[in-house]
Amino acid sequence: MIDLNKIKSEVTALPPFRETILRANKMLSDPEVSARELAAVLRYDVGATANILKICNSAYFGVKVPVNNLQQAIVNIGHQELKNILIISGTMPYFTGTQSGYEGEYGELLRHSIATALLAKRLGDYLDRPDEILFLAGLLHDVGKLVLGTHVREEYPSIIQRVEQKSLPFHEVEKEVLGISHDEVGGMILEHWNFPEEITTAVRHHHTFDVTEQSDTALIVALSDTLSNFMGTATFSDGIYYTGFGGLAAHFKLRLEDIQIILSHSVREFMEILDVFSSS
Amino acid sequence: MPNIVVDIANMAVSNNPEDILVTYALGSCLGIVLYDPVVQVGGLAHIMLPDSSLENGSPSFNPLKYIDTGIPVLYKKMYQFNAQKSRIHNAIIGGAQIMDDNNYFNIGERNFAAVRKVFWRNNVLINKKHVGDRINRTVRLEIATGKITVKLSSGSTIVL
Repeated sequence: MIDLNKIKSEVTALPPFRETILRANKMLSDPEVSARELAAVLRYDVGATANILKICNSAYFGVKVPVNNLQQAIVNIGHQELKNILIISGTMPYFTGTQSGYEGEYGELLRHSIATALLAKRLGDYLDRPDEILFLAGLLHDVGKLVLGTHVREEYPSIIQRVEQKSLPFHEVEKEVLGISHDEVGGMILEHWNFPEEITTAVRHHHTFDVTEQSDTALIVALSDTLSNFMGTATFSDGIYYTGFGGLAAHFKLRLEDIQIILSHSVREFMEILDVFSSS
Repeated sequence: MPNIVVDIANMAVSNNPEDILVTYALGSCLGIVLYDPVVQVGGLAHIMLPDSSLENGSPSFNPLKYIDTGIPVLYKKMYQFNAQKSRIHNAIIGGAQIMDDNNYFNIGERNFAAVRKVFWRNNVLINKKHVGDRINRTVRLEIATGKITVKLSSGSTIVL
């Protein structure tokens, strides 16, 4: 068991979420917002500006003359794509440099988070429940692992032994052994960052959802997390050890064919995004 | 030693004895390993779904997403490196089931069934396998020796 006050102080020690990212994201939910207005906010965020220019000049957008003007880059990329790029580049600094107990050896946590974000967005569209916050909620659903990771690394052998012997879901044993699970810590972090309640709830309950209680947003995030197992993008140590997929798929009346179509489309998008971010 | 990472819906084939091909966190996906010991050529593919029929002629079709179309692509690449069908050993790894109350879709099992179908049609026997169960797997293939190691989410590493 870890002292929960220690976890709390680790949560409050996290640097605040970059406000320009949240502001720009909010502006982008207005389809009428102009590139000029966005550029005015984003030009103060050096990291985001660099990423936007880099992506605008990448092979994916096929520009003939390099663009070095932020406002022009925003126009070229388009709002939806820009939103994804901004959110990922705003979140990436938290993931880099972690080597947590959830990951094998490959830094899968960021990959898994991006995959879950893409799957959540695509699932929302597929189910006719398009939702502006699904991408962000998917991206941050495992943010608690950033704090709990080092503790899990120390206790992994005893956690996994109990998971296997008793056939218990990973987060339940995590709570038994450490006193708190990564989904709960994630909720604490988003509270600390003053995130909207709906995202915080989705993150806090992505393993303890109840299809009769939670919003579709929370349930879609939980389902996307599981789907990442079918896309080779789950975190190595715990990804496979969760339950509830059947109930979620049934709740949304998804058939095997639907699942396969969603996976097949998402994997291409995933590789494109990885390409964009792999050298940044 | 250089690691060549094989991502989802992708493959690598090499005859450089210094190379190690690796694919991470397979889940229900399958890692298909091929090796010809005579010319020391090895290949590894990370494939996601059993059957390409759901593509419906999509223009950006990637055959390595599917077992039925991905395995032939991997074999053809091996032949380009002078591997021969009769000498190629294979190993099939992955196809895990997620911990689920009612085994809803069994994509892992379907993936493995699709491999058996492709091999059966082409008179190939499965030589080695480490499939199914609730295990996440990371696979490595050493090109110099053909040695295959599988790291399991339960903590251990085994040699196939």
